[in-house]
Amino acid sequence: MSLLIIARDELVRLFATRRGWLSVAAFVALWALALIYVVVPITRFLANSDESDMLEMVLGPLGLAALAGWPSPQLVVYWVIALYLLPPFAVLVAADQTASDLGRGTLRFHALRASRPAIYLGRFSGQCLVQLGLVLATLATVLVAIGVQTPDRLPDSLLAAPFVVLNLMVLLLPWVALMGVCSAVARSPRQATLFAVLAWIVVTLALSLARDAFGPLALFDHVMPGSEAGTLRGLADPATLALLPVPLIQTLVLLALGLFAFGRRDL
Amino acid sequence: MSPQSGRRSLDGSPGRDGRDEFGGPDKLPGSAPGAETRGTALATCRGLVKRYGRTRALDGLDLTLVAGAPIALVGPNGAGKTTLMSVLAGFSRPSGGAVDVLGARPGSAALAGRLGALPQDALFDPALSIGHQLRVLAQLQGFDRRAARGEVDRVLAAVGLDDVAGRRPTALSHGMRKRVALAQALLGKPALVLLDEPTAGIDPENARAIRELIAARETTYLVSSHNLDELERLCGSVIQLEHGRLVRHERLGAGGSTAPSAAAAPDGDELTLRLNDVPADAFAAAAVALDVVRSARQLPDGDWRLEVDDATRAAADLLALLAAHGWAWRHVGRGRSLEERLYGR
Repeated sequence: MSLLIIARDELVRLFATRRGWLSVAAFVALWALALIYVVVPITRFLANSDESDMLEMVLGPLGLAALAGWPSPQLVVYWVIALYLLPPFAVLVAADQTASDLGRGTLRFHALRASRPAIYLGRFSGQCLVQLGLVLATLATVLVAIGVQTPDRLPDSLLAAPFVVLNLMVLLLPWVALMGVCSAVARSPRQATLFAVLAWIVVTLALSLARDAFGPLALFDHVMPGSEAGTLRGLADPATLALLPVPLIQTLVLLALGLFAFGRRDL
Repeated sequence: MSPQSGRRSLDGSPGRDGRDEFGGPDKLPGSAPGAETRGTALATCRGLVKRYGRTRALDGLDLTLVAGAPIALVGPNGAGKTTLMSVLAGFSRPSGGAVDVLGARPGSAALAGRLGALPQDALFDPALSIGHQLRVLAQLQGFDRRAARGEVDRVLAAVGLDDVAGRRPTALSHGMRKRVALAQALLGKPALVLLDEPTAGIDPENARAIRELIAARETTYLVSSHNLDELERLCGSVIQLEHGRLVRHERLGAGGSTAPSAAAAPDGDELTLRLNDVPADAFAAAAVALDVVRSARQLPDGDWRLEVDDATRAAADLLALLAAHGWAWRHVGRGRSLEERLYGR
């Protein structure tokens, strides 16, 4: 129950505060640019061509031929953009899961009434709901565009939408969990973001050294959050499900790490 | 008793029960400690240790807090007062020893609504309204949405801030923010409330409002402060820490200590007088001439300490003496102040 209350409050913290609205506004502006200057023009270009051939011509050299099997080109463009746009935004938005409240002591008020795991997982769940809201909102705009530009493709696109949402959410989970860890050891969102960058650099260097020492083990390819994004980019919807265990395992490991760190630190 | 002191002996406000003035009854303050009955052990520490690097902020502390009158927690900076509060509230994990608060481990969800705390320097989220934040805290304690709203109204009214629910913390003064933080500590009528420097850095009016709330004694308070006069007026017992160790744990007022005390004389045998521009030699000679006064000496801060046989009769005789000579007086008190007990004079 505490977890649900804290998760719900995380939504309020984002959508009922100026800071939250600024974040959302920045994302909306960015997405509007992508929609107006990338999604719609590309779709219009493809619609004026022999579509199936043109799509393969465009995607083939990029190694994205499998995407030609998607129900609409708009969804293909959305998929590729979302894979790269949403994670960095998740890093920015999720950086303040606990950091600010730790810095000013607000978490002490919560810790008197809820266990630390409930607080930590509640904040994580709330951030996941925020990300889900953003995914649904951006996907909705694309579905509207499909409905306007190519209405005959809308039913198939609607059927594919749950796969897209599921994939994007699972892709975002380790990023949110990573920022949870960074936020648990930081005292401000800026510091948490800095820690995330440092962690990314350190892990990248460590992986490079490990590869030199032990060779290109498959395990090393799955350590970093988002490591499967490159592969996901070239897959059609049902095939993407095979990659879900990697980010899920990453998320569980990061959650365990974050719970440990948050549980041990002084509030 | 003093003309401007505002203590119970004159104006009916809650007096400091530890050092009754002008012959008042020397008793521990009564209380109505919520769900816990008076005398129940609320918190127990056994060999409690808290380390910060090489520093032992708490060094093998053994302590039991019982339900009843407010408990003063005193000691110099770095003595471990805030650390003890933090450990009891679950904000910090102990490095060693055992702690039990209301039958549960500190930080346990089982303490939700049973343990309240006003942490030192903790602030509310400046972006969200006071009412919203308090309602969320109330819901975490188990109140449903409607009940939470009512509970928030109750605690805000209790601290005299009925009209701030819709405002953000940044719109409030420091003293008002402190009272709001006190309001959160009172959500759900907890059995034990930890107050870390509740009146530090706030104006006299807000400080008095907080003192009045503590004096109402609807629960048991552990109050940390450097204001010994304030603690003496509010509390029924005192815990003194130094270097993370317990050096004193005793009742105020009756002189019955539960640990060795540094007090030089039993309370009933001494009076403290504060006079205005009275010639020292003349007063000393006149005072010791009274048959109930054994000795009179002036303290470094100008007050007079008199050893007497019968405190009540001596006070009456001394007041008559002062009136007969036209000497102005400001304060007559029985026994030694908390400051004198703790640090001597």
